[in-house]
Amino acid sequence: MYGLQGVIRLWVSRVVWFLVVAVLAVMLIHLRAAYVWEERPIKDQRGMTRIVEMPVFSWEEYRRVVKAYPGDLFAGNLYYRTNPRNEGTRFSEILREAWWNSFRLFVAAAGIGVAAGVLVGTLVGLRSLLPRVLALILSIGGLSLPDFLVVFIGQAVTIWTYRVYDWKPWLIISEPSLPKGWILPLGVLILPPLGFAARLTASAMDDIMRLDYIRTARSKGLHEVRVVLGHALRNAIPRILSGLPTLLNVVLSSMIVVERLTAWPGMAFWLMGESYQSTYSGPDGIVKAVVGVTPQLIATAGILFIAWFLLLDGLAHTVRILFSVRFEEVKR
Amino acid sequence: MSRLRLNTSLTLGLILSALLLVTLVVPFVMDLPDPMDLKMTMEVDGALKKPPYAPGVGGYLLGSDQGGRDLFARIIYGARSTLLLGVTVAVGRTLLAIPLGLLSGWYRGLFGRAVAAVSTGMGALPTLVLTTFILWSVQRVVRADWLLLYGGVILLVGLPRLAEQVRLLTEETLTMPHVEAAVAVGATPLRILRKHVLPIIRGDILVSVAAETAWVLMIIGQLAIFNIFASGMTSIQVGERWIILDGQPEWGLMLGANRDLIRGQHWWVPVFPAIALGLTVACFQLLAEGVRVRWLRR
Repeated sequence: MYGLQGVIRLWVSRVVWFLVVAVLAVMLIHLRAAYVWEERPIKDQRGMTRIVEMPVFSWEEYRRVVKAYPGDLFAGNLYYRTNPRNEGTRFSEILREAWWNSFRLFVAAAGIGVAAGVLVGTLVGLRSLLPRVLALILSIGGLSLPDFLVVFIGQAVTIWTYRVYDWKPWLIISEPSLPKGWILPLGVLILPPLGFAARLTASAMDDIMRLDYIRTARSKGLHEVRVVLGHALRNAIPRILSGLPTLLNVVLSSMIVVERLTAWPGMAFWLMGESYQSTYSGPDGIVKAVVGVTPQLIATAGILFIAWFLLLDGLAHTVRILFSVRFEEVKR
Repeated sequence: MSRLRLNTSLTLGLILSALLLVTLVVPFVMDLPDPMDLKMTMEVDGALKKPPYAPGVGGYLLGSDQGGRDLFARIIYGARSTLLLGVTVAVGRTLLAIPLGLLSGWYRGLFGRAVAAVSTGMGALPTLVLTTFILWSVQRVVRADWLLLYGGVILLVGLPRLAEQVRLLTEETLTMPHVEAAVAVGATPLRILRKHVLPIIRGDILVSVAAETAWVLMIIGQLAIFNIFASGMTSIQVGERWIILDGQPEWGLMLGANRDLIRGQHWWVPVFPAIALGLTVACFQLLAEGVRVRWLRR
């Protein structure tokens, strides 16, 4: 009962937070769209005054773009244009594909990383030196080395092997349709959950293997593998799950950097993209327009990302609550 | 396992700290080339070559950047500005988080809930995304010095999370018998927080400074990947054309501004600053982890 109440409270708070954060993010991002071009006099290095066209922030424009955004969003009137003369591509289609690419990468990295980390951490229970050293190296490497450093090293390695052996173990620029295009982004993203899960599992196993019931199981003549998997790991699961929200947070944050550095066609491009002013000759003379990843597109990608982030965070907390309640009941 | 891990974390952290210290001291004891000295052509094997020069060529230990500037000297000099920025932001954030966390932990109620709520709200987006959104947007409205804005936003984005940590520690400490005794004899809140709570949690706060420094340096590196730098770019005229280069040596700027060169075979230009920044992040993280478990046993 307590578990259910906790879960309901958790999801109500997540929905409230989503609404609050999404509105604030939209308002914040639109500050970038709220400028008008004005001619301003500036002094150059020689002290001469020149008239230069500069972007100037305008509250009036800000109110206009913020008011217009929800209408455009719900009517599906958001387009990605690189040239003001083109109609552009409907953003919802682009975003769906980008999200799917990010989602695939995220699920693969978190899934493989956690599974491998738990496996390595569980081996620590077998009390031999090799798994301990492995868990130690993985936890230090996976948690201490920044994602950008690992990507750069990975890219440098493939350049070196290509020069020396004419062979590329993975691609510098990722490509979701090729297995080799997955290796670098996936390999880098696996490291943090692997290290984190290995560390959590190893420390839980270390504590649990000293408990009386493990000694009893051993004295009854159970095989060591069965003691570790059947008795110790089962009771280590709630502790591993307690780290799940942090773990997912770490993977999502790293994903943005890895996507950018390996040019993975995911959400990062739209979340952290840039717009630019473009001019063209129209029927009314020279026309200026903001094209590229405009603040409206960034705000839309931001809303989707916040929803995704909070959903995953909520799911991780739900699993943790339900498991910890069950664990308490088992203990009673 | 735990003992092995703790000792290793601390040992590795201390080794990296010693290396970092050497990097900071080197400019005082060695005659290094000027990190801003340009060299747009160099004779290599009888032929004139343009930068970037590869590591080991023409006396460049770690190679040069696009302006022919010595990368080794730039990395050594860049340590000062990068560390100064990272440590200043981390210490500033900790100094603000301590009173905020202590007072919200003491008064609880609305104040405590507000700190917890802001911390949760800011946690609804990855820090990198939030920092980028704020920096890109605010720079249009706030006409402040860029470095101040850059450091200020990084400081403020992590502040609620750290204040929340201090608040939780304070609440935990307030239930201890010695604090209850102090309350019973009529000690003032300020005295209780200063004399009975702060000494108990100061170990955790010291660890936080190391962890926060790692966190700030990591964000500096990640922001640089999205073209957000602490210091600016500079342009130089070479003959007819202009070249845009990273300005004063700073690791984030050096790796971010040159990150695309890795695809053009000039891998050393972004990779060496990335290694310097990455190992410094690892150093502070390992130190925080090692100290936390070795002395605080948490």
